[in-house]
Amino acid sequence: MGELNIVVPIKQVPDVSELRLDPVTHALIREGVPSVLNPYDRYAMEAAIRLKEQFGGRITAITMGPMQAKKALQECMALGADEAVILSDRAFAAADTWATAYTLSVYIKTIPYDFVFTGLKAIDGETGQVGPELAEFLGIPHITYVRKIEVDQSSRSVRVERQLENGYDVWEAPYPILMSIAREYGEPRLPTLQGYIEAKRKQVKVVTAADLQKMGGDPKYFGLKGSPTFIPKVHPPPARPPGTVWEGDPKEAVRRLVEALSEKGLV
Amino acid sequence: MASQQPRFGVVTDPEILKRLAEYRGVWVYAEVDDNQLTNVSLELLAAARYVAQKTKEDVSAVLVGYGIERFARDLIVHGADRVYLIQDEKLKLYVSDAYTEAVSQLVLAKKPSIFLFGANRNARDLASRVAGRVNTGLAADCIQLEVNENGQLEQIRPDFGGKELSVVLTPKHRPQLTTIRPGSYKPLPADYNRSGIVESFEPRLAEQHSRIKVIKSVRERLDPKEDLEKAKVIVAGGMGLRNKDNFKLLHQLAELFEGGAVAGTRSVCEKGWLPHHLQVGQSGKTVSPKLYFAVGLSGAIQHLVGMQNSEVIVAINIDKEAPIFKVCTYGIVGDLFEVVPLLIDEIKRVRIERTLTKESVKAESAGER
Repeated sequence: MGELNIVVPIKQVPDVSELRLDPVTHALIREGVPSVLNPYDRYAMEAAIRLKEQFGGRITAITMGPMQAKKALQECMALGADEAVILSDRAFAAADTWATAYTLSVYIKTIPYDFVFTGLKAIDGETGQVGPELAEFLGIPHITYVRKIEVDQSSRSVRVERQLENGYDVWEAPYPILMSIAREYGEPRLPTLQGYIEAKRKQVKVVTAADLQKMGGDPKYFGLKGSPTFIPKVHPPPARPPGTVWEGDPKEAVRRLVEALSEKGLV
Repeated sequence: MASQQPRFGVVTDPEILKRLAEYRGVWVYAEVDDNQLTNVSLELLAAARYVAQKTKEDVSAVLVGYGIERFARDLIVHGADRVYLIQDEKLKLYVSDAYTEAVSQLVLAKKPSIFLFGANRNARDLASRVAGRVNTGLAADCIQLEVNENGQLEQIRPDFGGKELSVVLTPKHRPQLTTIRPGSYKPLPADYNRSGIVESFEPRLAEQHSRIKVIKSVRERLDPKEDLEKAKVIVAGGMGLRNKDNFKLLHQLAELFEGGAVAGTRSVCEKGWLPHHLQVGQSGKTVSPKLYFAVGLSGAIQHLVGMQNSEVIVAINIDKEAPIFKVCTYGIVGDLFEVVPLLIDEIKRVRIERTLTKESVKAESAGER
């Protein structure tokens, strides 16, 4: 029974709870918002750590982003990742999910892996698309919304439960495989101080566009120019016309409300 | 996210334009789950008809499974001009690899311009992998579709939990793939005079296309009173309710309406005061009932994005600064424990009065005879 190689692609995201709207323009204020490890990615790290605890192995955390995203990788190393890789280059900027998945796949193809674990989605873009797209580029099957994993090393297969809106599925598949890990998998652990001290001794490997090209990556699929989707405009959500609000005597307010609803044929 | 340089969105290269022009038609993915068509499948047809009327194309539904021909008629009466029927024993239950291959083969053969999927878990899983297989763009979780002056699909989606809206284009790739949040569109009324074509498509599914096996599929059917996407009236509660028991009050209000349901905010569901399937908002359901009561909830943006398409919104909150009052149609600033019982009584009183008036009118007209 060999050890397992597990890759965990993660993302550094703005802390959504700190995002505010400009009171005048209603545009999102991005400056000065702290960045954090995408909360959904903690579940992917948790699944990786549990498998490593059970079977032994190596965890590689990987991200694509500006150099400041190293901080999120350090957190993964403090949690138990053995290696960390950042794909960082201006050529990767403004990639959509397709181009992000392609770029990640170029590097991941060069390392051994049995499992790729992702979060369900990132809290900024909230697409949940990078996982399945990455699996496609790697040429491996994928299973989303995983809440339970049983590994059978003798047949190199997994039996997993997937959490759906109205129930669950049990699927069996061979690995290597990519899975996105649901909240129902279990509470992710927090990094310890000892973990952070050990993480300090580890290096984050930096990979540039030129490096990926040597690995067989095609630069026309990197970043904005490699992205099939394009966002020409972003605007604040439309405001509804102002409503009628009653204060004061609740009896009178209720009478007027029911009168208004009656006129619309709603009561 | 991409920078804001519109020049990238306009395609002028004649070679590319020629290639794009080969793709025609608006498609929707008709999903069968638990032996029934999902609600969102019919909603997608409404979205597709809206788009198709602008692009002057027809609408096709892609129906995948085994022993599912009976659903083709439902799709036609709700707006499909054509149904592609993909049946294979390997497709009996949803599974990511075989479904991706079957649907992608149809896409590559027929070349649609636009392909809409529900943003529910299985359909977005499929859409993501199809986007990878056929190498095209996919916009996630859209709430609205428009067509711009260049004939491109504008896919409008909330970002950062609804704090801003992005318009996503797929300028140089086809089909333009989109997932649409359930509840964003209302199904068109069934028109039994509509006719359409049913066309079978046989995918070639090799061993490598079905490596994943479905061992078990467990589904729970929703009580109609808990099906928020179909509810006509929703009474939603927030932390102002203070405890689980007080939700009885909201149930009393909801029961006054046919098709009335109770729902809650994320905090309420995380506290366990309501089950998670009754959560409205960014990480829960998107709903658009005729009437939405927002009771004791402040109206965090993550909640608003899930209910702001409701026709009439009534807010009841003790805090007059609560953001919910900015989006409501009608609002009452007051203690919900005082206001809601008064509201229940007033609705009952008005209804009795209305019945009595009708009866007295009847009695009078009977007397005249």
